[in-house]
Amino acid sequence: MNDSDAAVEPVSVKPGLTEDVIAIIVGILLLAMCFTAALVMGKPKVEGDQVTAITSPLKGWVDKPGGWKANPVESFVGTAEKPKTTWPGILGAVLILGVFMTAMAPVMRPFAKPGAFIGGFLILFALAGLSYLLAGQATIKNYNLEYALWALLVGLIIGNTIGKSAFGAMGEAAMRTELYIKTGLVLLGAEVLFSRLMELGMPGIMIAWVVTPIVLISTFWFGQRVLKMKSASLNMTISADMSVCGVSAAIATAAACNAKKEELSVAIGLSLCFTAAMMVVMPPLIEVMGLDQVVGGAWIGGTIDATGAVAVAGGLLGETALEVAATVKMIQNILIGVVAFGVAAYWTTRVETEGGEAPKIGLGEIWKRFPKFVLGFIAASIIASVLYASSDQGEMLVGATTSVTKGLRGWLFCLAFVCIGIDLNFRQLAHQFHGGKPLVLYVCGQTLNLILTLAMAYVAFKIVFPEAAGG
Amino acid sequence: MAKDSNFRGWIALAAITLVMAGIWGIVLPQVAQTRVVQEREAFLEAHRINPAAMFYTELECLDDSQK
Repeated sequence: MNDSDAAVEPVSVKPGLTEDVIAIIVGILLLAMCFTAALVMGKPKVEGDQVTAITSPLKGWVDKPGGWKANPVESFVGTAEKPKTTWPGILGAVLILGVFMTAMAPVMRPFAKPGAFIGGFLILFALAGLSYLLAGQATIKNYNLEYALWALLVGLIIGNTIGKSAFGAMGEAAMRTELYIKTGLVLLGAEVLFSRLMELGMPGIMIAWVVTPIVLISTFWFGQRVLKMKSASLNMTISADMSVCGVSAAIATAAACNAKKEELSVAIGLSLCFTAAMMVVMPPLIEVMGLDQVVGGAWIGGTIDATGAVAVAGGLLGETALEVAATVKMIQNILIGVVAFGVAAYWTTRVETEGGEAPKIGLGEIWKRFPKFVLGFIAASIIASVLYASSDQGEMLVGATTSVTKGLRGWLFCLAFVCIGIDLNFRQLAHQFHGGKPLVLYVCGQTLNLILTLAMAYVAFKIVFPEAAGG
Repeated sequence: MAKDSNFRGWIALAAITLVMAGIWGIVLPQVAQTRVVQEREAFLEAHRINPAAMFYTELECLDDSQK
């Protein structure tokens, strides 16, 4: 994504703020707004004499197109049997994001005229809405073909037919891939709750936090030393999405190591293809192998990339497997905070130094190179984790806040994928697959992941903590 | 020349849009009516599984299991 905004560079007339700083400002403002709304106007849900949840007043005002079978209009109003009106939430999301982003347009680097920005933003938002609509069709949805894929495809079609020049100045002003991704990541930070780490006890930590970093580092090393991949950032993005949690990990890692747009697209494409296959193959394989639901669920949770696919595969095995698989994946999801920080720190101090010698850079230089949005991401995560753990009310307020921000985060990522698609051309994409190294890397890394995770799941639940499997 | 390629671009876009409308408007709805897809949909609904979840906060079934 390091060249995402190159096309708008020449318009720059004053310094402005980097997308990292704007992402932190907008992300924190959105989180603060949603938290305040939940705190001041949240509706408590009372069961017996206890408050069990808080519903944010903004919840109905942020939504995305829902699922549909034969008629796409069902996406916006639901069906006669199950009416679900989503269009007010879609309008709310465009209004909230449009206002916040357009307000920052005059201080963006490069500068954008608010009128041009909002025009371009509305076009992109419509394309993002179309991507959600394509992803929401029942057949597509059931096979875990996420909106990221369709947003990339919609963007690719636009970019390779009429091109982004068709949108003129509006396209130039609003096509800011990094801004949308980084703002989405700051919002995602509030969903990374470290206080939920111990929900499966030590076995969960052993599977998700011991195996995952080993696989991540080994795969990256294998890609650099054995496959000798030219692009370290492509290697890292594939290693992270394969070992951690698919698309969300790919987005966070690609932003942290300044990967190119086409590299992120390749990593996501590989991940989605293998996820769809593993989701179908793993449950019957586990039954053939005679594994019980706890070990099988942990194996699924630790290896299948996408969170939704983990739940589907776990559910096909049984209730216990679903619970274990989803919880292992949740613990792995939380790891992306650490991975993003670690990758950003590593890239800042080592990989970006291309002298061939050991890097000798001072703290000032490290600070200059460090992707600042990671600090917003980590800060949001720490504050949300502390609030979540502080009291029952804190837990409910964080839940009410993220019930709104996760919708905004989804739209921001979808906007970013549309922008990536528009900026890509099929030749660039094909070039990334040259020699088949990304595919070999993914297959080798996933094989190691499958072996180590199964071994660790067995050791954790059958040898070290057998009582956890029983409970 | 530029006008020509512009025109070709719009034609290509219209053609792709037509193909996609055919797939999403006719083919996929037919597939959605098959027993396999309907059973799968019923299974996902019964277990409150969102197969398109990108992060654990989008999984309703996980909230239930923690309570």
